[in-house]
Amino acid sequence: MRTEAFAVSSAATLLREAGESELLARCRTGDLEAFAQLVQRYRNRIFNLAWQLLGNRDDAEDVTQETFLQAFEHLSEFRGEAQMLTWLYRIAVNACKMKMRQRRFIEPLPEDFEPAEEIDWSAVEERWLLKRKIDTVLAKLSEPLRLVLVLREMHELSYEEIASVLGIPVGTVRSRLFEARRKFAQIWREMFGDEIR
Amino acid sequence: MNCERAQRLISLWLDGMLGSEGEQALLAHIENCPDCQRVRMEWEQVRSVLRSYPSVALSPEFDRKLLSRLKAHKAPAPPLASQWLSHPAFRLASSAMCGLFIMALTLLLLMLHTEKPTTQPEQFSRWQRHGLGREVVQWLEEIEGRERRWQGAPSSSSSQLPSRSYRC
Repeated sequence: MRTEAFAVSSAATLLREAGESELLARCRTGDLEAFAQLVQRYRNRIFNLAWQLLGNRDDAEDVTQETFLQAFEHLSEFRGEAQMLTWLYRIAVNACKMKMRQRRFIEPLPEDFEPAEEIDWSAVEERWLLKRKIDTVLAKLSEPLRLVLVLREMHELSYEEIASVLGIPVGTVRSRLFEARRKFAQIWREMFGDEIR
Repeated sequence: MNCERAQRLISLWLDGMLGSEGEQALLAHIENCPDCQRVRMEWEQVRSVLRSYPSVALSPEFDRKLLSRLKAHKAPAPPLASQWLSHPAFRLASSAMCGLFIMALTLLLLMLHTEKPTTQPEQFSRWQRHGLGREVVQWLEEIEGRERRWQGAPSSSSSQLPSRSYRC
């Protein structure tokens, strides 16, 4: 049963890759319709990555637009050695870094923030509260730690893929991930209490 | 194994990057270390919380905006060499260069194959040696010839003076 499921998923992957290379060939001739299909495939992942790194919708949308414009412009430089998604992540991360340099992260909660009794947390939708908490803790991490943590834990990239996206050695990915986990847990505990959930 | 080392291994273990030997040593340490047990639990919670981050959707205008920006943008640039090769000015210049080259080559071949006319070394009159123009020289030689005829001397355009014979 498992073998069959694996075979089906492998076949689906092969089909997807074949479709992708055909799309890429069409994009390289300036075919906007083919490029729109590629955008459709990856836009949400790029947008979510940008949001997780920048913390607000407007900047995340700007970065997503910028990523696809740059991808279209530099398509001839994509040789297909890396995955399309990894290549797009690299462009998006660089665009995010530029944005981060232009301004600070989202307006983080004040330094003396404590979960006050008078705030009725139950009135806030639970998932958006969780999102807000994560954004706040991520905002307190340094940029290199935030990048590796988001790419590993939220986008499930392998160490090699993270190294390729960020242009750093795999050993650095390992040590930054260790540091990022430790720091994230510590900040969470300090801001929201012991339990991380 | 100290806790610092164990916690580094926990990070690798969570990502499936630890071999079975390292895993056994780590689990043996964690079993007897409440601090590392707490760290492991916390980091699993960090993973769980980050993976439950709600994904957000793009605004409906995103596609329209991107499409209009893409249309305003030029088509993907072909490699630099082919850009040069396809440029009309480059094509025109290269055609002109080829034409010139062919013409130069033809001329060179013609010059090599045409026999040079055998020219006698020009006899310069003494007037010509003074750098006078052709017309002036002709005029002077004409006068000289007339004088010689009048004096009964042999006509010669050479610069050498007629040898005099002194008969005794």
